[in-house]
Amino acid sequence: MSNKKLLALVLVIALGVAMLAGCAQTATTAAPAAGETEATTAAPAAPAEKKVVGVMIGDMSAQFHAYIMDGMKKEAEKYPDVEFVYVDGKFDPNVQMGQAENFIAEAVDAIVYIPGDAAAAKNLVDKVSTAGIPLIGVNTEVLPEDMDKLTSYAGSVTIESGILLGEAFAKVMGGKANMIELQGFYGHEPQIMRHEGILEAFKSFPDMKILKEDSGEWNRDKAMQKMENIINSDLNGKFDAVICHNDEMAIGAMKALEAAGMLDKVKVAGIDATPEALKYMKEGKIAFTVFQDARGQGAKGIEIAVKVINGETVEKRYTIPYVTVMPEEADKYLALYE
Amino acid sequence: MSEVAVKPNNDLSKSVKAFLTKYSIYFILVLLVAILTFLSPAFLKPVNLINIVRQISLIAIVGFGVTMIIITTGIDLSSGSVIAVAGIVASKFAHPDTYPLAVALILGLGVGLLAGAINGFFVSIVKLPAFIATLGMMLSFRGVGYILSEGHPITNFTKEYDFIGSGYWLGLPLMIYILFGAAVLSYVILRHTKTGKCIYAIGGNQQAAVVSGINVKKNLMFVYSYAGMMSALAGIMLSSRLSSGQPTAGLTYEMDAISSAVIGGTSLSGGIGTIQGTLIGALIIGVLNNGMDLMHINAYYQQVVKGSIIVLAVILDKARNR
Repeated sequence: MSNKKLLALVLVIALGVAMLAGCAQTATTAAPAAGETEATTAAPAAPAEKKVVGVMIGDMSAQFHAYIMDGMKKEAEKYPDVEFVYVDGKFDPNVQMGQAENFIAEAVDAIVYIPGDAAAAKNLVDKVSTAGIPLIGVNTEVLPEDMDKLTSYAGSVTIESGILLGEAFAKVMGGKANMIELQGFYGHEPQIMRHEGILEAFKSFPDMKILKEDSGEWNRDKAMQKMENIINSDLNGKFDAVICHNDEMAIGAMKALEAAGMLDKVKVAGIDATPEALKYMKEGKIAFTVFQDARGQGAKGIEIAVKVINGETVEKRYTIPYVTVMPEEADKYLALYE
Repeated sequence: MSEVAVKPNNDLSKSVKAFLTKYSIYFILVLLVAILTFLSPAFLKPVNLINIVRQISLIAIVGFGVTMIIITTGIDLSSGSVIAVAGIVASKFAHPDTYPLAVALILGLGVGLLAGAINGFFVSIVKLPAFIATLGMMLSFRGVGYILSEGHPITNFTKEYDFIGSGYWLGLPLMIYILFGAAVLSYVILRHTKTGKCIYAIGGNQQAAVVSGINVKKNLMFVYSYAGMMSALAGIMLSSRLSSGQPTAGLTYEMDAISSAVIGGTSLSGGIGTIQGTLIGALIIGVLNNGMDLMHINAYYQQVVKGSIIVLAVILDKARNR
């Protein structure tokens, strides 16, 4: 009995040590850079030492962040002399704060940063800029007053996606529709801005009406349940379009409508141009989508970081535009994921 | 069994009160249904009722296994992560023209069984608190999900695999039959087998169970493995329903499953709980979610109402366990 306990304990400790050792490898390679605080101005003194770029992903489990990271990793292959250390913020500002502090302690040469939450990013931006480490924002903007403290930013203008979604929907529906709006998590920056963008677009189309707003929490499962309940409510038969803040929710809503045999009467669209959404567009089940260039954003962020550590000048902002994608263009965008 | 604490004035009121407290959870469900029927004409339509049962089938199935675990005074926090991994594993073997359906099902369920067995090992042999053992599994298995799927959803399934989550038979969704099957199986195990009696005995008093010759380790191993397999079943159903195995699937499902069990009268201090109670608990959650959507209640308020009703249901239900 106690032998078994001991064995289990030893196994657990061995596992723990192995995991720590795994983490420590990246830490030791980063260590030689310690002491240099003015990384931007520092000349490449010792070419033997690899430069290190810390990459803070907001949430590796979020589909969209995963695609950004794909773009980053592909771009990073072009720079074998630079080491890139990727960490997962788990959508938790506190976790990201700890990671930033670690990068500051290791004195990395630059940090590429996707904030999980814009408002909570304030202290993090302050700390990194005080430490003098170049900070390159990607995808999600920090608060307007903090944008200046970023060395550079690669991303899209969020409200634009909502405007494009609304405008394209008005075009598809001939300027007249009764819609259900499935929003992202309440309080998320993209949820707020996409909603504002949609309303902005509908200002020129007074007959585009939103009958009900609800949240599908960015999630296919949740959106499907919401849609099933809406189909069973008194709204059944009164709506002819479902406008979603992302493609995952559009697919969930589409599946609920399909199961209820209503897909021929109701049009569904979202944002992101995920491979699945593009495939469903080819099958005529989703009307259109709005492409946000996740890979392009990620690649740009890495490219900027490398430029900065090589002492090249960079612009304050690189805007990656959104594009409306209609079904006939689906193949072109599917090819991007190959 | 169900003695009422207050002194009754006469026999009739006593027996009525005993009856009410014994079946309080059923009355809460009936009351909710009555209120919602009154407030929303769409609620009681058969198509909506089928919709509700289908929506709760996943958390109820997970809840059946969790109920058994809670009866032994344990807890399972890993259900949601097991849902994701089992869904991903099954999805990987469900592409057209590759493997027969049975391979996807067996591997998916097998992965859940394995996760459950690991939980059982740490709880029964290593004697870790169930909270810690299953918390570890929750975190590490979520990671396994990302590793196996490389962070991306797995799609493109055979017709047979799609049928699990979206198919109908005799006018009812297949998911409801699976729910019914899982409920009957779990009920029989808990009520009509020696294992079931052992589960209650372990939860009632573990020392006494040991003394009376019950193999506690073996029974705990069984309970956790069974719960893992139930989560895996839910994971397969979810991936089929969504047409994709996703690493983010089943997030917070463990909380809904535990809530179902507890609303349904399962005591967190062990020894008490039933499968039918958990089914009712899941239905209460499902009816609330659906009813509030039908009445167009703002999502902010929905959460407040849901939380309050869960606590209220348990307060009312506590009376019969005193």
